[in-house]
Amino acid sequence: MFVLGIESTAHTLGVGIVDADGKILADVKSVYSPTEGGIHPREAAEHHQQSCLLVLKDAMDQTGISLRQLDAIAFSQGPGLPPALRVGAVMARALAYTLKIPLLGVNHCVAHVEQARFFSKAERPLVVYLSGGNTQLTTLESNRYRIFGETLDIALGNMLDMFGRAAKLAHPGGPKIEELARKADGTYLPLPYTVKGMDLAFSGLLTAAKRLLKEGADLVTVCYSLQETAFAMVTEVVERALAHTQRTELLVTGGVAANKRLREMLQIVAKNHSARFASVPPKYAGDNGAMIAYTGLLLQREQIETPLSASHVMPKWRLDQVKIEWH
Amino acid sequence: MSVVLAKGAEAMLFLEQWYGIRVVRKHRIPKSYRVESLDKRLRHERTIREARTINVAKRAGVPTPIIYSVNLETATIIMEYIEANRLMEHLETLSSSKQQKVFKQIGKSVALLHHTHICHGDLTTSNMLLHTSGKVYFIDFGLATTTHSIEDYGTDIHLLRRALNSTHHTSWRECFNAFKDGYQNEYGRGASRIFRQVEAIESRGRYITERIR
Ligand SMILES: Nc1ncnc2c1ncn2[C@@H]1O[C@H](COP(=O)(O)OP(=O)(O)O)[C@@H](O)[C@H]1O
Ligand SMILES: [Mg+2]
Repeated sequence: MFVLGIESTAHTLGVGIVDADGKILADVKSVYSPTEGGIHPREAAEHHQQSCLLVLKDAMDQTGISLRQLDAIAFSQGPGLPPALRVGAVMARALAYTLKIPLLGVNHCVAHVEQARFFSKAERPLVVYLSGGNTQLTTLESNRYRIFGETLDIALGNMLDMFGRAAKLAHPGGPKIEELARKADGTYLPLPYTVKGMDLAFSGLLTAAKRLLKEGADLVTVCYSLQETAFAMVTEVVERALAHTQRTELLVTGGVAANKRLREMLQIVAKNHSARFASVPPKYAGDNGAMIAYTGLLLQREQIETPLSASHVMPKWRLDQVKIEWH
Repeated sequence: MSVVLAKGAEAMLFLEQWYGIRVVRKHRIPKSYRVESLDKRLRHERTIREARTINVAKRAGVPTPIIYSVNLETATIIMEYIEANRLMEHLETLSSSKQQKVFKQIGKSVALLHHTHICHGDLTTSNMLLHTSGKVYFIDFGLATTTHSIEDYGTDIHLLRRALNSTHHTSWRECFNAFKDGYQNEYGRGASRIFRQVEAIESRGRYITERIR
Protein backbone atom coordinates (compact mmCIF):
# COMPACT_ATOMS: atom_id res chain seq x y z
CA MET A 1 0.00 0.00 0.00
CA PHE A 2 1.28 3.46 -0.94
CA VAL A 3 -0.18 6.83 0.04
CA LEU A 4 0.85 10.07 -1.61
CA GLY A 5 0.48 13.32 0.34
CA ILE A 6 0.44 16.90 -0.89
CA GLU A 7 1.26 19.89 1.32
CA SER A 8 0.46 23.43 0.16
CA THR A 9 -0.83 25.47 3.11
CA ALA A 10 1.74 28.29 3.03
CA HIS A 11 5.32 28.61 1.68
CA THR A 12 5.89 24.94 0.92
CA LEU A 13 4.66 22.83 -1.94
CA GLY A 14 5.59 19.33 -0.83
CA VAL A 15 4.90 15.81 -2.01
CA GLY A 16 5.58 12.78 0.17
CA ILE A 17 4.96 9.09 -0.26
CA VAL A 18 4.70 6.52 2.52
CA ASP A 19 4.20 2.77 2.51
CA ALA A 20 1.79 0.73 4.64
CA ASP A 21 4.06 1.00 7.69
CA GLY A 22 4.39 4.76 7.43
CA LYS A 23 7.93 4.50 6.12
CA ILE A 24 8.83 7.55 4.03
CA LEU A 25 9.76 6.55 0.48
CA ALA A 26 10.03 10.09 -0.83
CA ASP A 27 9.72 13.60 0.51
CA VAL A 28 10.29 16.39 -1.98
CA LYS A 29 9.51 20.06 -1.65
CA SER A 30 9.86 23.44 -3.25
CA VAL A 31 9.69 26.47 -0.97
CA TYR A 32 8.44 29.87 -2.05
CA SER A 33 10.50 32.70 -0.69
CA PRO A 34 9.07 36.21 -1.00
CA THR A 35 11.40 38.71 -2.62
CA GLU A 36 10.17 41.41 -0.27
CA GLY A 37 7.91 41.59 2.80
CA GLY A 38 5.80 38.74 4.12
CA ILE A 39 4.12 35.95 2.23
CA HIS A 40 1.90 37.11 -0.63
CA PRO A 41 -0.80 34.42 -0.91
CA ARG A 42 -1.21 34.82 -4.66
CA GLU A 43 2.51 34.68 -5.32
CA ALA A 44 2.79 31.58 -3.13
CA ALA A 45 -0.02 29.96 -5.13
CA GLU A 46 1.71 30.85 -8.36
CA HIS A 47 4.93 29.30 -7.11
CA HIS A 48 3.06 26.14 -6.15
CA GLN A 49 1.38 25.91 -9.55
CA GLN A 50 4.70 26.23 -11.32
CA SER A 51 6.53 23.71 -9.17
CA CYS A 52 3.88 21.10 -8.38
CA LEU A 53 4.41 18.81 -11.36
CA LEU A 54 8.18 18.87 -11.01
CA VAL A 55 7.96 18.07 -7.30
CA LEU A 56 5.46 15.29 -8.01
CA LYS A 57 7.68 13.81 -10.70
CA ASP A 58 10.76 14.00 -8.48
CA ALA A 59 8.96 12.25 -5.64
CA MET A 60 7.60 9.50 -7.89
CA ASP A 61 11.04 8.95 -9.44
CA GLN A 62 12.58 8.52 -6.00
CA THR A 63 10.16 5.77 -5.04
CA GLY A 64 10.48 3.87 -8.28
CA ILE A 65 6.77 3.04 -8.25
CA SER A 66 4.25 4.21 -10.81
CA LEU A 67 1.23 6.41 -10.22
CA ARG A 68 -0.98 3.35 -10.87
CA GLN A 69 0.48 1.68 -7.80
CA LEU A 70 -0.76 4.43 -5.44
CA ASP A 71 -3.64 3.48 -3.15
CA ALA A 72 -4.78 6.90 -1.97
CA ILE A 73 -4.11 10.62 -2.36
CA ALA A 74 -3.94 12.83 0.74
CA PHE A 75 -3.79 16.62 0.73
CA SER A 76 -3.72 19.37 3.34
CA GLN A 77 -7.23 20.70 3.34
CA GLY A 78 -6.50 23.43 5.92
CA PRO A 79 -5.74 25.56 7.79
CA GLY A 80 -3.79 27.86 5.54
CA LEU A 81 -3.84 30.48 2.83
CA PRO A 82 -6.80 29.87 0.52
CA PRO A 83 -5.00 30.42 -2.83
CA ALA A 84 -2.10 28.19 -1.76
CA LEU A 85 -4.40 25.50 -0.38
CA ARG A 86 -6.37 25.38 -3.61
CA VAL A 87 -3.33 24.38 -5.64
CA GLY A 88 -2.78 21.25 -3.55
CA ALA A 89 -6.51 20.49 -3.52
CA VAL A 90 -6.85 20.72 -7.30
CA MET A 91 -3.81 18.53 -7.78
CA ALA A 92 -5.10 15.94 -5.29
CA ARG A 93 -8.58 15.84 -6.77
CA ALA A 94 -7.23 15.41 -10.28
CA LEU A 95 -4.96 12.56 -9.23
CA ALA A 96 -7.58 10.76 -7.15
CA TYR A 97 -10.18 11.13 -9.88
CA THR A 98 -8.02 9.90 -12.74
CA LEU A 99 -6.45 7.07 -10.75
CA LYS A 100 -9.86 6.17 -9.25
CA ILE A 101 -8.45 5.95 -5.74
CA PRO A 102 -9.67 7.52 -2.47
CA LEU A 103 -9.08 11.19 -1.69
CA LEU A 104 -8.12 12.00 1.92
CA GLY A 105 -8.45 15.52 3.34
CA VAL A 106 -5.87 16.03 6.06
CA ASN A 107 -5.70 18.74 8.71
CA HIS A 108 -2.23 20.30 8.49
CA CYS A 109 -1.84 20.73 12.27
CA VAL A 110 -2.92 17.16 12.97
CA ALA A 111 -0.32 16.03 10.40
CA HIS A 112 2.53 17.84 12.20
CA VAL A 113 1.48 16.26 15.48
CA GLU A 114 1.02 12.76 14.05
CA GLN A 115 4.36 12.79 12.25
CA ALA A 116 6.14 13.91 15.42
CA ARG A 117 4.40 11.16 17.36
CA PHE A 118 5.38 8.60 14.75
CA PHE A 119 9.07 9.48 15.01
CA SER A 120 9.20 9.86 18.79
CA LYS A 121 7.03 6.84 19.60
CA ALA A 122 5.62 8.92 22.45
CA GLU A 123 2.54 7.33 24.02
CA ARG A 124 0.57 10.21 25.55
CA PRO A 125 2.63 13.36 25.02
CA LEU A 126 1.93 16.98 25.67
CA VAL A 127 2.62 18.32 22.17
CA VAL A 128 4.04 21.78 21.58
CA TYR A 129 3.57 22.86 18.00
CA LEU A 130 5.57 25.95 17.07
CA SER A 131 5.68 27.12 13.48
CA GLY A 132 5.30 30.14 11.26
CA GLY A 133 1.51 29.97 11.36
CA ASN A 134 0.72 28.10 14.57
CA THR A 135 1.63 28.13 18.24
CA GLN A 136 -0.30 25.50 20.17
CA LEU A 137 -0.10 23.27 23.23
CA THR A 138 -2.19 20.16 22.91
CA THR A 139 -2.88 16.67 24.21
CA LEU A 140 -5.08 13.94 22.87
CA GLU A 141 -8.04 13.33 25.17
CA SER A 142 -11.20 11.38 24.29
CA ASN A 143 -10.63 11.37 20.53
CA ARG A 144 -9.68 14.98 20.10
CA TYR A 145 -6.54 17.05 20.32
CA ARG A 146 -7.55 19.42 23.12
CA ILE A 147 -5.89 22.80 22.97
CA PHE A 148 -4.56 23.99 26.31
CA GLY A 149 -2.74 27.06 25.16
CA GLU A 150 -2.09 29.01 22.00
CA THR A 151 -1.15 32.42 20.72
CA LEU A 152 -3.69 35.22 21.03
CA ASP A 153 -2.18 37.19 18.18
CA ILE A 154 0.68 36.09 15.92
CA ALA A 155 2.55 32.78 15.83
CA LEU A 156 6.05 32.51 17.29
CA GLY A 157 7.70 31.76 13.93
CA ASN A 158 5.83 34.58 12.26
CA MET A 159 7.02 36.98 14.96
CA LEU A 160 10.64 35.95 14.44
CA ASP A 161 10.36 36.30 10.67
CA MET A 162 8.76 39.73 10.96
CA PHE A 163 11.54 40.88 13.25
CA GLY A 164 14.05 39.44 10.80
CA ARG A 165 12.57 41.53 8.02
CA ALA A 166 12.65 44.69 10.13
CA ALA A 167 16.32 43.96 10.88
CA LYS A 168 16.94 43.32 7.17
CA LEU A 169 18.05 39.75 7.80
CA ALA A 170 17.76 37.13 5.07
CA HIS A 171 14.48 35.21 4.91
CA PRO A 172 13.53 33.20 6.94
CA GLY A 173 14.56 35.28 9.94
CA GLY A 174 14.31 32.63 12.67
CA PRO A 175 17.58 30.75 12.00
CA LYS A 176 19.44 34.00 11.38
CA ILE A 177 18.27 35.43 14.72
CA GLU A 178 19.39 32.24 16.43
CA GLU A 179 22.82 32.52 14.87
CA LEU A 180 23.23 36.17 15.91
CA ALA A 181 21.92 35.56 19.43
CA ARG A 182 24.60 32.93 19.94
CA LYS A 183 27.23 35.66 19.62
CA ALA A 184 25.73 37.77 22.44
CA ASP A 185 27.68 38.64 25.57
CA GLY A 186 24.73 38.04 27.89
CA THR A 187 23.50 41.64 28.05
CA TYR A 188 19.72 41.40 28.33
CA LEU A 189 17.50 44.34 27.38
CA PRO A 190 14.11 44.19 29.14
CA LEU A 191 11.21 43.51 26.76
CA PRO A 192 7.45 43.02 27.24
CA TYR A 193 6.55 39.55 28.44
CA THR A 194 2.93 38.54 27.81
CA VAL A 195 1.53 35.32 29.19
CA LYS A 196 -2.17 34.85 29.91
CA GLY A 197 -2.78 31.54 31.58
CA MET A 198 -1.48 29.08 29.01
CA ASP A 199 -1.91 31.58 26.17
CA LEU A 200 0.70 33.88 24.73
CA ALA A 201 0.85 37.14 22.83
CA PHE A 202 3.86 38.22 20.79
CA SER A 203 2.93 41.44 19.04
CA GLY A 204 3.86 43.74 21.95
CA LEU A 205 7.23 42.05 22.14
CA LEU A 206 7.77 42.44 18.39
CA THR A 207 6.93 46.15 18.47
CA ALA A 208 9.26 46.80 21.39
CA ALA A 209 12.14 44.86 19.81
CA LYS A 210 11.73 46.77 16.57
CA ARG A 211 11.74 50.01 18.53
CA LEU A 212 15.04 49.06 20.18
CA LEU A 213 16.55 48.58 16.74
CA LYS A 214 15.31 51.97 15.60
CA GLU A 215 16.84 53.55 18.67
CA GLY A 216 20.18 52.14 17.62
CA ALA A 217 20.56 49.19 20.00
CA ASP A 218 23.07 46.53 19.02
CA LEU A 219 21.48 43.95 16.72
CA VAL A 220 23.10 40.96 18.39
CA THR A 221 21.90 42.12 21.83
CA VAL A 222 18.36 42.68 20.54
CA CYS A 223 18.26 39.25 18.87
CA TYR A 224 19.42 37.67 22.11
CA SER A 225 16.92 39.58 24.25
CA LEU A 226 14.09 38.85 21.84
CA GLN A 227 14.83 35.12 21.81
CA GLU A 228 15.29 34.91 25.55
CA THR A 229 11.99 36.68 26.18
CA ALA A 230 9.90 34.85 23.59
CA PHE A 231 11.27 31.42 24.46
CA ALA A 232 10.91 32.01 28.21
CA MET A 233 7.23 32.79 27.56
CA VAL A 234 6.79 29.56 25.60
CA THR A 235 8.69 27.55 28.19
CA GLU A 236 6.62 28.99 30.99
CA VAL A 237 3.30 28.03 29.41
CA VAL A 238 4.69 24.60 28.59
CA GLU A 239 5.61 24.20 32.24
CA ARG A 240 2.14 25.30 33.27
CA ALA A 241 0.60 22.81 30.85
CA LEU A 242 2.85 20.01 32.14
CA ALA A 243 1.84 20.78 35.72
CA HIS A 244 -1.80 21.02 34.68
CA THR A 245 -2.04 17.87 32.56
CA GLN A 246 0.51 15.79 34.53
CA ARG A 247 1.75 14.32 31.26
CA THR A 248 5.14 12.61 31.37
CA GLU A 249 6.20 13.15 27.76
CA LEU A 250 6.90 16.45 26.08
CA LEU A 251 7.01 16.44 22.30
CA VAL A 252 8.03 19.47 20.25
CA THR A 253 7.29 19.98 16.58
CA GLY A 254 6.98 22.69 13.92
CA GLY A 255 9.65 24.78 12.24
CA VAL A 256 10.74 26.66 15.38
CA ALA A 257 11.39 23.31 17.11
CA ALA A 258 14.73 23.30 15.29
CA ASN A 259 16.00 26.20 17.44
CA LYS A 260 18.67 24.90 19.83
CA ARG A 261 18.18 27.50 22.55
CA LEU A 262 14.45 26.83 22.69
CA ARG A 263 15.05 23.09 22.89
CA GLU A 264 17.51 23.60 25.70
CA MET A 265 14.95 25.60 27.69
CA LEU A 266 12.21 23.05 27.09
CA GLN A 267 14.54 20.22 28.10
CA ILE A 268 15.06 21.92 31.45
CA VAL A 269 11.35 22.09 32.26
CA ALA A 270 10.80 18.57 31.01
CA LYS A 271 13.47 17.39 33.41
CA ASN A 272 12.01 19.42 36.30
CA HIS A 273 8.69 17.70 35.77
CA SER A 274 10.19 14.26 35.16
CA ALA A 275 8.92 14.23 31.62
CA ARG A 276 10.69 12.63 28.69
CA PHE A 277 11.68 15.19 26.07
CA ALA A 278 11.36 14.38 22.40
CA SER A 279 11.30 16.40 19.24
CA VAL A 280 10.65 15.84 15.60
CA PRO A 281 13.82 15.22 13.51
CA PRO A 282 15.00 18.64 12.25
CA LYS A 283 14.53 17.47 8.66
CA TYR A 284 10.79 17.16 9.26
CA ALA A 285 10.33 20.15 11.57
CA GLY A 286 8.99 22.32 8.76
CA ASP A 287 6.04 21.72 6.44
CA ASN A 288 6.45 18.57 4.35
CA GLY A 289 4.43 16.27 2.13
CA ALA A 290 5.43 13.13 4.04
CA MET A 291 3.44 14.19 7.12
CA ILE A 292 0.33 14.58 4.96
CA ALA A 293 0.93 11.17 3.38
CA TYR A 294 1.40 9.57 6.80
CA THR A 295 -1.76 11.14 8.25
CA GLY A 296 -3.53 10.10 5.06
CA LEU A 297 -2.45 6.55 5.81
CA LEU A 298 -4.02 6.81 9.28
CA LEU A 299 -7.26 8.04 7.72
CA GLN A 300 -7.14 5.33 5.06
CA ARG A 301 -6.77 2.64 7.72
CA GLU A 302 -9.95 3.94 9.37
CA GLN A 303 -11.58 4.28 5.96
CA ILE A 304 -12.24 7.97 6.47
CA GLU A 305 -12.34 9.20 2.89
CA THR A 306 -13.17 12.66 1.61
CA PRO A 307 -15.70 12.64 -1.22
CA LEU A 308 -15.01 15.15 -4.00
CA SER A 309 -18.10 17.09 -2.92
CA ALA A 310 -16.55 17.68 0.52
CA SER A 311 -13.03 18.41 -0.66
CA HIS A 312 -13.24 22.22 -0.58
CA VAL A 313 -10.35 23.86 1.25
CA MET A 314 -10.86 24.91 4.88
CA PRO A 315 -8.60 27.92 5.59
CA LYS A 316 -9.61 28.11 9.27
CA TRP A 317 -9.90 24.43 10.11
CA ARG A 318 -8.77 24.08 13.71
CA LEU A 319 -6.79 21.25 15.23
CA ASP A 320 -9.47 20.56 17.81
CA GLN A 321 -12.23 20.24 15.22
CA VAL A 322 -10.88 16.93 13.95
CA LYS A 323 -12.21 13.69 15.40
CA ILE A 324 -9.22 11.41 15.97
CA GLU A 325 -10.31 7.83 15.35
CA TRP A 326 -6.89 6.20 15.63
CA HIS A 327 -4.53 5.85 18.68
CA MET B 1 6.62 21.82 60.73
CA SER B 2 6.49 22.32 57.00
CA VAL B 3 5.04 19.97 54.41
CA VAL B 4 4.91 20.39 50.68
CA LEU B 5 1.33 21.17 49.77
CA ALA B 6 1.79 21.40 46.03
CA LYS B 7 4.36 21.84 43.33
CA GLY B 8 2.72 24.31 41.00
CA ALA B 9 4.00 25.53 37.66
CA GLU B 10 5.51 28.64 39.14
CA ALA B 11 5.80 28.02 42.80
CA MET B 12 6.36 25.57 45.61
CA LEU B 13 3.63 25.66 48.23
CA PHE B 14 4.19 24.63 51.81
CA LEU B 15 1.73 24.07 54.61
CA GLU B 16 3.21 25.56 57.80
CA GLN B 17 2.59 26.90 61.27
CA TRP B 18 2.95 30.66 61.54
CA TYR B 19 2.53 32.24 64.98
CA GLY B 20 0.16 29.49 65.95
CA ILE B 21 -1.97 29.32 62.84
CA ARG B 22 -1.86 27.08 59.82
CA VAL B 23 -0.75 28.95 56.73
CA VAL B 24 0.35 28.39 53.16
CA ARG B 25 3.78 29.66 52.18
CA LYS B 26 3.94 30.23 48.44
CA HIS B 27 7.48 30.53 47.17
CA ARG B 28 8.09 31.50 43.57
CA ILE B 29 11.22 29.57 42.80
CA PRO B 30 13.92 30.80 40.40
CA LYS B 31 13.70 29.24 36.96
CA SER B 32 17.05 28.22 35.59
CA TYR B 33 15.86 28.22 31.97
CA ARG B 34 15.46 31.98 31.76
CA VAL B 35 17.88 34.90 32.01
CA GLU B 36 18.43 35.82 35.64
CA SER B 37 17.32 39.44 35.41
CA LEU B 38 14.12 38.46 33.62
CA ASP B 39 13.51 35.73 36.16
CA LYS B 40 13.93 38.16 39.05
CA ARG B 41 11.70 40.75 37.45
CA LEU B 42 8.89 38.24 36.86
CA ARG B 43 8.96 36.69 40.30
CA HIS B 44 9.10 40.11 41.93
CA GLU B 45 6.28 41.54 39.80
CA ARG B 46 4.03 38.56 40.29
CA THR B 47 4.52 38.40 44.02
CA ILE B 48 3.48 42.03 44.33
CA ARG B 49 0.59 41.56 41.96
CA GLU B 50 -0.69 38.49 43.70
CA ALA B 51 -0.59 40.01 47.17
CA ARG B 52 -2.16 43.27 46.07
CA THR B 53 -4.87 41.82 43.90
CA ILE B 54 -5.97 39.14 46.36
CA ASN B 55 -6.76 41.93 48.82
CA VAL B 56 -8.61 44.05 46.29
CA ALA B 57 -10.58 41.01 45.16
CA LYS B 58 -11.50 40.17 48.72
CA ARG B 59 -12.76 43.71 49.28
CA ALA B 60 -14.84 43.38 46.12
CA GLY B 61 -16.57 40.35 47.64
CA VAL B 62 -14.68 37.51 45.97
CA PRO B 63 -13.62 34.72 48.35
CA THR B 64 -9.79 34.68 48.49
CA PRO B 65 -7.22 33.70 51.14
CA ILE B 66 -6.11 36.37 53.63
CA ILE B 67 -2.58 37.62 52.98
CA TYR B 68 -0.48 37.65 56.16
CA SER B 69 2.94 38.56 54.96
CA VAL B 70 4.96 39.21 51.82
CA ASN B 71 8.70 38.97 51.27
CA LEU B 72 9.75 40.44 47.95
CA GLU B 73 13.40 39.48 48.34
CA THR B 74 12.54 35.80 48.36
CA ALA B 75 9.31 36.15 46.33
CA THR B 76 7.31 34.54 49.11
CA ILE B 77 3.76 35.08 50.28
CA ILE B 78 2.31 33.78 53.50
CA MET B 79 -1.44 33.39 53.30
CA GLU B 80 -4.44 31.76 54.88
CA TYR B 81 -4.74 28.02 54.32
CA ILE B 82 -8.04 27.21 52.69
CA GLU B 83 -9.07 23.70 53.59
CA ALA B 84 -10.89 22.82 50.41
CA ASN B 85 -10.80 20.68 47.28
CA ARG B 86 -9.37 21.88 44.02
CA LEU B 87 -12.25 22.25 41.62
CA MET B 88 -10.18 20.59 38.90
CA GLU B 89 -10.22 17.18 40.60
CA HIS B 90 -13.56 17.69 42.31
CA LEU B 91 -15.83 18.96 39.53
CA GLU B 92 -16.63 15.57 38.02
CA THR B 93 -17.69 14.18 41.40
CA LEU B 94 -20.49 16.74 41.67
CA SER B 95 -24.02 16.27 40.39
CA SER B 96 -24.85 18.30 37.35
CA SER B 97 -27.10 20.68 39.32
CA LYS B 98 -24.36 21.22 41.90
CA GLN B 99 -21.86 21.90 39.11
CA GLN B 100 -24.11 24.54 37.71
CA LYS B 101 -24.58 26.18 41.10
CA VAL B 102 -20.82 26.32 41.49
CA PHE B 103 -20.34 27.90 38.07
CA LYS B 104 -23.08 30.43 38.65
CA GLN B 105 -21.14 31.51 41.71
CA ILE B 106 -17.90 31.59 39.73
CA GLY B 107 -19.63 33.79 37.14
CA LYS B 108 -20.69 36.16 39.87
CA SER B 109 -17.16 36.35 41.29
CA VAL B 110 -15.53 36.98 37.93
CA ALA B 111 -18.07 39.73 37.23
CA LEU B 112 -17.17 41.28 40.60
CA LEU B 113 -13.50 41.15 39.63
CA HIS B 114 -14.14 42.74 36.24
CA HIS B 115 -16.32 45.41 37.82
CA THR B 116 -13.33 46.25 39.99
CA HIS B 117 -11.24 46.35 36.78
CA ILE B 118 -9.29 43.21 37.67
CA CYS B 119 -8.57 40.40 35.25
CA HIS B 120 -7.47 37.23 36.98
CA GLY B 121 -5.27 36.17 34.08
CA ASP B 122 -5.34 32.41 34.71
CA LEU B 123 -8.90 31.29 35.26
CA THR B 124 -8.71 27.51 35.40
CA THR B 125 -10.25 25.00 37.76
CA SER B 126 -6.82 24.40 39.31
CA ASN B 127 -6.96 27.95 40.63
CA MET B 128 -10.35 27.56 42.31
CA LEU B 129 -10.93 25.80 45.62
CA LEU B 130 -14.34 24.45 46.54
CA HIS B 131 -15.00 24.66 50.28
CA THR B 132 -17.44 22.26 51.96
CA SER B 133 -19.62 25.32 52.65
CA GLY B 134 -20.11 25.54 48.87
CA LYS B 135 -18.02 28.68 48.63
CA VAL B 136 -15.52 28.87 45.76
CA TYR B 137 -12.20 30.50 46.65
CA PHE B 138 -10.04 32.08 43.97
CA ILE B 139 -6.26 31.76 44.22
CA ASP B 140 -3.14 32.31 42.11
CA PHE B 141 -3.40 35.99 41.17
CA GLY B 142 0.17 36.30 39.90
CA LEU B 143 -0.94 36.98 36.33
CA ALA B 144 -3.70 39.39 37.33
CA THR B 145 -3.90 42.81 35.69
CA THR B 146 -5.75 46.03 36.35
CA THR B 147 -7.48 47.04 33.16
CA HIS B 148 -10.41 48.92 31.68
CA SER B 149 -10.37 47.11 28.37
CA ILE B 150 -13.27 44.96 27.20
CA GLU B 151 -10.76 42.91 25.19
CA ASP B 152 -9.00 41.95 28.43
CA TYR B 153 -12.24 40.95 30.17
CA GLY B 154 -13.13 38.94 27.09
CA THR B 155 -9.74 37.22 27.13
CA ASP B 156 -10.19 36.34 30.80
CA ILE B 157 -13.50 34.63 30.01
CA HIS B 158 -12.08 33.00 26.87
CA LEU B 159 -9.33 31.43 28.99
CA LEU B 160 -11.88 29.97 31.37
CA ARG B 161 -14.03 28.65 28.55
CA ARG B 162 -11.05 27.02 26.88
CA ALA B 163 -9.82 25.55 30.16
CA LEU B 164 -13.27 24.02 30.66
CA ASN B 165 -13.38 22.76 27.12
CA SER B 166 -9.96 21.11 27.31
CA THR B 167 -10.06 19.76 30.86
CA HIS B 168 -13.73 19.05 31.54
CA HIS B 169 -14.97 18.12 28.12
CA THR B 170 -17.99 16.13 29.27
CA SER B 171 -19.70 18.92 31.18
CA TRP B 172 -18.13 22.10 29.93
CA ARG B 173 -21.10 23.51 28.03
CA GLU B 174 -23.52 23.39 30.94
CA CYS B 175 -20.86 24.77 33.27
CA PHE B 176 -20.04 27.61 30.92
CA ASN B 177 -23.71 28.49 30.45
CA ALA B 178 -24.18 28.61 34.22
CA PHE B 179 -21.07 30.80 34.45
CA LYS B 180 -22.56 33.14 31.86
CA ASP B 181 -25.80 33.38 33.83
CA GLY B 182 -23.98 34.21 37.03
CA TYR B 183 -21.78 36.73 35.28
CA GLN B 184 -24.62 38.48 33.49
CA ASN B 185 -26.74 38.72 36.66
CA GLU B 186 -23.92 40.39 38.53
CA TYR B 187 -22.37 42.51 35.81
CA GLY B 188 -25.68 43.75 34.43
CA ARG B 189 -25.62 46.10 31.46
CA GLY B 190 -22.50 45.69 29.41
CA ALA B 191 -22.15 41.97 29.98
CA SER B 192 -23.43 41.17 26.51
CA ARG B 193 -20.75 43.37 25.00
CA ILE B 194 -18.12 41.41 26.85
CA PHE B 195 -19.51 38.08 25.67
CA ARG B 196 -19.59 39.40 22.12
CA GLN B 197 -15.90 40.17 22.58
CA VAL B 198 -15.30 36.58 23.72
CA GLU B 199 -16.90 35.40 20.47
CA ALA B 200 -14.74 37.80 18.49
CA ILE B 201 -11.55 36.60 20.18
CA GLU B 202 -12.43 32.99 19.46
CA SER B 203 -13.64 33.52 15.91
CA ARG B 204 -10.34 35.10 14.96
CA GLY B 205 -9.33 31.50 14.60
CA ARG B 206 -5.84 30.93 15.72
CA TYR B 207 -4.40 30.63 12.28
CA ILE B 208 -3.34 34.16 11.65
CA THR B 209 -1.85 34.51 8.24
CA GLU B 210 1.31 36.49 8.14
CA ARG B 211 0.63 40.17 7.83
CA ILE B 212 2.31 42.03 5.08
CA ARG B 213 4.21 44.93 6.54
N1 LIG C 1 -4.28 29.36 50.21
C1 LIG C 1 -4.31 28.09 49.83
N2 LIG C 1 -4.98 27.18 50.57
C2 LIG C 1 -5.00 25.88 50.20
N3 LIG C 1 -4.39 25.39 49.12
C3 LIG C 1 -3.72 26.23 48.32
C4 LIG C 1 -3.64 27.63 48.64
N4 LIG C 1 -2.91 28.23 47.72
C5 LIG C 1 -2.54 27.27 46.83
N5 LIG C 1 -3.02 26.07 47.18
C6 LIG C 1 -2.80 24.79 46.45
O1 LIG C 1 -1.55 24.84 45.74
C7 LIG C 1 -1.75 24.72 44.35
C8 LIG C 1 -0.81 25.62 43.57
O2 LIG C 1 -1.00 26.96 44.00
P1 LIG C 1 -1.03 28.21 43.00
O3 LIG C 1 -1.14 29.45 43.82
O4 LIG C 1 -2.07 27.99 42.00
O5 LIG C 1 0.43 28.11 42.39
P2 LIG C 1 0.95 28.07 40.88
O6 LIG C 1 1.07 29.49 40.47
O7 LIG C 1 2.26 27.40 40.93
O8 LIG C 1 -0.07 27.34 40.08
C9 LIG C 1 -3.20 25.05 44.13
O9 LIG C 1 -3.72 24.43 43.00
C10 LIG C 1 -3.84 24.55 45.41
O10 LIG C 1 -4.07 23.15 45.33
MG1 LIG D 1 -2.15 27.64 39.91
